[in-house]
Amino acid sequence: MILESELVEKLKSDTNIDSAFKELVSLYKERLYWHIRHIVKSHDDADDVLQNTFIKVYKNIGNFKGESKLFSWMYRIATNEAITFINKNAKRLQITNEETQTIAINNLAADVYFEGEAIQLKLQKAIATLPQKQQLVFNMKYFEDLKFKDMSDILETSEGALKASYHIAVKKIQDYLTNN
Amino acid sequence: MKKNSLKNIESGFKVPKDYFENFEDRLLSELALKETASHSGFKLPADYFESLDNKILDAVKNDHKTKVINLFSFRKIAYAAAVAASLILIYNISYNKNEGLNINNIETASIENYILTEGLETSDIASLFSDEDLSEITSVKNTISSESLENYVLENLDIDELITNND
Repeated sequence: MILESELVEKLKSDTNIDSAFKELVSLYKERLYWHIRHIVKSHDDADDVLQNTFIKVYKNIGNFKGESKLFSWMYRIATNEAITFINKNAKRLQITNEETQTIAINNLAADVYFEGEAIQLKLQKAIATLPQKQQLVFNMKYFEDLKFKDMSDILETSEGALKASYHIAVKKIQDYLTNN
Repeated sequence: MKKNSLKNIESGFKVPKDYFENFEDRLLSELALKETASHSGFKLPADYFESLDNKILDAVKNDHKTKVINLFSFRKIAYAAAVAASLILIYNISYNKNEGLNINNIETASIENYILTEGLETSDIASLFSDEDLSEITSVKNTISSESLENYVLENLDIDELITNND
């Protein structure tokens, strides 16, 4: 596998950018897709946001300073794009972000790309009760299986705070599942 | 025991407060949750990731093309905005011209105020009237009943004044 520094070098050069970008897409598409999907919930929306994310990455790779890892830089762009997407939707429909999310979750029941088991739907509803940052932390750890160290880079929060936040999230979800 | 605690001090390792007290709780709550729902339930269209690479590369290329169109439409918008702005300007100028100073569009209160503060004499006002206006006023006078005229004269006028005016 190609080293991240080499890939960045190639991405910044005019001659190799296309082949390097292809490599970048195939390397990160799945991880970024799932990251986005857990935020926006529907497959079609995730597909849109993922494409926008890669367009942003392609456009801004020249500004990538290398202070953080390419990996966390891309995750940060994906997170921002997904949250901006939710905010835009909320603004368009003139409702709050939380309401947009409730709508997205209610739509899941009829979504062909969602397994219609009651427990999964309940789990999504439980996640939606958490504050936005806690949702991110929970999804990134529970479903995406990211390391706290990497999450700390992406979310620019200390590992300790993330661990505490995750633990609280797990508790709250468990409580929700037993009470509902 | 003493030896053990001595060893602990030597190693310098510390654990967060209540780490061991909460350990089971932390471990078990996550395990329990994973037991109830280990996966998200999200599914994908068949072969989604296989065709994704080309889709993204196309999107990136198209975005570059749109960029050029964007610049062009920006120019169009700029032209349209310039035309609109000049139309508004012309409209404003001609509208302002039409709105000349006219007795009809001055508030009565302002006129009243002007007369009071500028100390206009009755003769000044009289000079503003033409003969026609005066005859109109005369005709108005005729409509006043003799009774009210009599009352007015009795209440407001000095009989001496009337005599002098008759000279």
